[in-house]
Amino acid sequence: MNDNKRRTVLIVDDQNLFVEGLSHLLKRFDNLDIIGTVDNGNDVISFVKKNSPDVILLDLNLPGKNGVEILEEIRAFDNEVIISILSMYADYSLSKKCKKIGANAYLTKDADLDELRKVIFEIGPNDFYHSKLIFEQNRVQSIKQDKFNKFALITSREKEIIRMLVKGLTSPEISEKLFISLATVQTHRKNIFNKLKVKKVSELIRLAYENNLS
Amino acid sequence: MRTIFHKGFLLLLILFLSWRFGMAQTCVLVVDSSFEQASLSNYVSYTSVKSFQGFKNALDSIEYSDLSKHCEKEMSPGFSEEVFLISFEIENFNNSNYDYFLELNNPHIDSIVLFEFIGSNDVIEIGVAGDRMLFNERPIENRRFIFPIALKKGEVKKFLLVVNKRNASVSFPTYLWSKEEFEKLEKRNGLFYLLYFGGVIFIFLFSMVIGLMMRNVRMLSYGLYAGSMGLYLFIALGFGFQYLYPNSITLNNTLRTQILVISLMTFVLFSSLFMNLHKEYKRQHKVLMIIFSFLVVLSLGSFIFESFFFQHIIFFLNVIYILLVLTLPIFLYSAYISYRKNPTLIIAYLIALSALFTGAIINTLIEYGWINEDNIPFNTVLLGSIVELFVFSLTFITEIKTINDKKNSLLQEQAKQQKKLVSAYVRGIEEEGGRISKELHDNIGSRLAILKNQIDYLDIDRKKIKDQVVDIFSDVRQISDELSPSKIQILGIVPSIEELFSQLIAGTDIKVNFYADEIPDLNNDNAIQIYRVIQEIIQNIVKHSGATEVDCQILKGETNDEGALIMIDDNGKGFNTHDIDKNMGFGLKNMRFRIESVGGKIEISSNEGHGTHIMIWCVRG
Repeated sequence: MNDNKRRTVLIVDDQNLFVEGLSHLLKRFDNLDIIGTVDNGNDVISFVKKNSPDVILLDLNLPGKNGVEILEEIRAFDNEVIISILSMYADYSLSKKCKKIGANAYLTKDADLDELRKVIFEIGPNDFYHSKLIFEQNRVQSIKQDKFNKFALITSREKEIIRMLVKGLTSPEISEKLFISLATVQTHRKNIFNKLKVKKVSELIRLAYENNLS
Repeated sequence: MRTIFHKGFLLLLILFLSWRFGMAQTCVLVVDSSFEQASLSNYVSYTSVKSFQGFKNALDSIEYSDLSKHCEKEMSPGFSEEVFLISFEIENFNNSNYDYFLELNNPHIDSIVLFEFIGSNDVIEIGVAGDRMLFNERPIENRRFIFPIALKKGEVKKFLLVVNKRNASVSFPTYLWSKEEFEKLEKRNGLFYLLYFGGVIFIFLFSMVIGLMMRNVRMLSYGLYAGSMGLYLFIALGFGFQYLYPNSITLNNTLRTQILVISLMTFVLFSSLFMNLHKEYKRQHKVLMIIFSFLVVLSLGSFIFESFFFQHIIFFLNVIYILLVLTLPIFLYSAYISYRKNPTLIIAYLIALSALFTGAIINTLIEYGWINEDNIPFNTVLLGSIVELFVFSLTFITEIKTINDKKNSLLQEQAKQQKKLVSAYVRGIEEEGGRISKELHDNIGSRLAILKNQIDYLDIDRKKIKDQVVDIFSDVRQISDELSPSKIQILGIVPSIEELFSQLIAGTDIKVNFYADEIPDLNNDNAIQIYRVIQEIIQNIVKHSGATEVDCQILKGETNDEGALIMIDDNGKGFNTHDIDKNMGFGLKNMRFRIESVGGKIEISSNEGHGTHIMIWCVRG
């Protein structure tokens, strides 16, 4: 296979058999040089500084520093090198996290040759590519703090407690009614007040009426 | 039957009365060789004068002949400002000279002068004593007032005793002793008082040390009470003047009242704490604490404004008595209402209290002259105090023992529980290991074997084989994930939990609303335990709750050490919380064990039909 640019690649992984297999696979690309393999997290930075590879294929689980730490350290001094995570984990959150701290790709270890080619030869320093990951459907709904709707963060349990507070129940009464300890009611109360940025029950009542909560 | 009984009773009464009067009519106390001790009250004639301008004037104002007219009158003066003039006659019926001791059994009398009659109308002073003199100026150094009297063989002497006992002082039972008998009595008494006050000091030190060690305010207050009460009795019995401050007349006059106020003060405090009013009946405790603070002020005042205090001592004594009368019903009421909660404590308190008060009341009756002291040869307050201290100490000892026993059995229970959990944990690991081994062997192993055989054929379907490898690959990944959540370290606890939710609700219709603050990194061990517990919680929600919506919020703890507060609420069918408390399932117990093992706290609340609500407080570790 041919691609116009010549690429130097560093493989960081502690599983020798996997590194061997991968190297073997990558030899199919003509204009690709594997300039090194590193099997310890602590040796990566010095190697990168010395040899400046074009692409780094980086595992996450490593003896010494882990992949995320290495990624952060490299990005502190080099924004050009293409870094692709190559991990057994197929987690969406991990991929998201790696993207956030500067990875250019997130490949799972069962990635096929086509994906590898794409990552090594096609993507640029500002791109992000990831393999098909598991659990992309029915993700949890991440809630963001909403300036306009303070109630977005209030859980259903907290709403229940707000209703009781609006009705004029005291913390001990709520504790008795919900079969929870007084300390728990007070924790809820404090959290509600924090989230809604109110200081008094009267303000809470007003806010609750405004939002049709009672 | 009845008439015989009546007649017998009447006969006895007549005999008794004639015996008493027979004694009283002998005005001269005749002492022979068998004489040991006699109360003078049956042998005296006395009179009293109201305004007292010194002994000479007092003597001038009475007719001596009056004194001999009343020899049947018993001497029970009670409270009074009067000065008493008492005359008595002693005849030595022995064959030799004899030494006697005249004892006034009251350690606090202002002044006493003993005169001897010369002829029928004149007297000479033979001894002076009283609280207005230093201790070592007394004729005999004793906590009471003792006058030595010597009579020659066959001699008859008539004496006049003038007692100025001031308003505050009380009765003064007077006895004549043979010197030998008196010394025997002193030895006996000395041993008794040594035991009593030694006991008080022991109780005081013991309670203070144990109270401080166990940080038990009840024990401390008991020590203070026993100590101050003991000190009060020590002073009241005259030992204070003898041993503590023999050179200070002022202290002898003031300290007794001051310590009395302190004893009352500690008594109020102790009673409230002893009955646990400070924990269970706060209102009663508050009232008692107001009285307590008043007594503190009073006692401080009595030291700081000493002269003012003692100028108005009658007023302050009345205030103290009123306070005492006020507190007593509060004590009794508190005892009544808290009886149900702690019957043994209250019974002990009532026995102790009634012992002391009976002693004090009898003593007061004696002081007012309503009971003849001759009938009660011991100090009733002291006796009441002994019973009281015994009962209280016994209560405390039993209490400490009960606490200790409880602690021991709790420890044993805990150890048992721990053992159970550890063995369950080990069993869990074994089972898990077995399951994974079976999975690797039966599932992965046999699938790889089939794959190997398929590759041997020439007409292999590469696509089919690749799909099989992908399947095996994903199974291995899942097994590895279950074995160890190693990615927590890489990902951090919050995204790991988010991922966990996504993984476990995959393929269900459950909607998860997830919110997390930026939280500080947790210690890895803590993070793993919390991750495992949340894993179990989500599995329970997915498997058992039937919930359609789950709220998960991870909030930053208030302090840096606090780490995070994790709340997980579902809208599932819930369960009855009372059932888990009684018979908490192993899974729930295990969750609690895990969380508590890393210093956290978990609270699970649920109501049938109203979902389950879980809060986990975790520390950073």
